[in-house]
Amino acid sequence: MKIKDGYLLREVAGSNIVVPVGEGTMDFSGVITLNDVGAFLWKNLEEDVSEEELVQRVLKEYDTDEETARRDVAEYMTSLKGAGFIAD
Amino acid sequence: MQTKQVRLNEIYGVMKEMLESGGTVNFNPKGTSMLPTIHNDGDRVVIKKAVDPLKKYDLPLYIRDDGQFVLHRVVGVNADGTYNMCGDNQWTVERGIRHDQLAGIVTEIHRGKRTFSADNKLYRAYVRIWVGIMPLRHILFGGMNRIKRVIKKIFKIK
Repeated sequence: MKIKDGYLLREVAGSNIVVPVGEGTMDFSGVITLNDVGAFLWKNLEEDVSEEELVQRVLKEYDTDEETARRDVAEYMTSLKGAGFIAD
Repeated sequence: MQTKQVRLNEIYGVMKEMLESGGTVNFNPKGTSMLPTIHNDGDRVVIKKAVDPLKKYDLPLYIRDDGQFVLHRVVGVNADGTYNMCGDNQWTVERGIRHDQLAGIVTEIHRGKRTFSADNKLYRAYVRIWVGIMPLRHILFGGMNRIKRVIKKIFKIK
C-alpha cells in the first residue's frame, strides 16, 4: 500500500502539513497536519510498503515495543484509508 | 491525524514556490471584511502571482509590513504605482500598498459548486457597482449599525 499521488508533505513552522497538489496548483483549503510519527509513516508510505514492514521501521526509529507499534500503525492506516489517502 | 486551520504566514513559503513557478494556489479566506463577495464559511479563492501592475477592482492578497496577510480590493492606483485597498465590507481605505507586498491576485472565487471568474463580465459589473457605492456604504450600513446599536441599547439586547 502507498499514499496516493497528489500530496505534498512539508514541515512548516514546526508542524508537518500535507497539502493536496495538482498540475501547477495547490489546495490549502484541504491541508492536514501530522504529528512526528504520522509524518514518519507518511514519508514511508510514499513508496509501496506493507503494514508489517511499516511496523518494523517504526520499531527501528522509535523506542517502543512491538505491540504498541503494531497497534499505532494499524490505527493510523485505518484513518488514512478512511480519509481516502491510500491507493488500492 | 487532524485537520487544522493553518495560518497563511506559516504556509506562505510553500505557497510562494508554487506561485513563483506560475502555478495557482487556493485557500479559504477568513474574516468578514470582504462580505458579501467572499463568505467566511467555506468560500475558496484561487490566486496566482501578480505579474503586471494591478488595476482598480483587482482583488489581491498582500502582506502588510507587520506580516499580516490581507485580501482586499484595489480601489485606487496612485501616481507612484502604489495601491489603495478596501475590503468590500469596509469603508476605510488603506493607502500606499506597494507591488512588492503582493502575494498574489484572485482569479476565481468558489462557493459550493459555483465558480466565479474574476474576468466574468457579471462579476466585474457587480464589483464596479459595489465599489461605486462605497461612500454610500458608509452611510447605509454605518447608519444601519448605529440604529441597531441604539435599538440594542434601548432594549438591552445582547
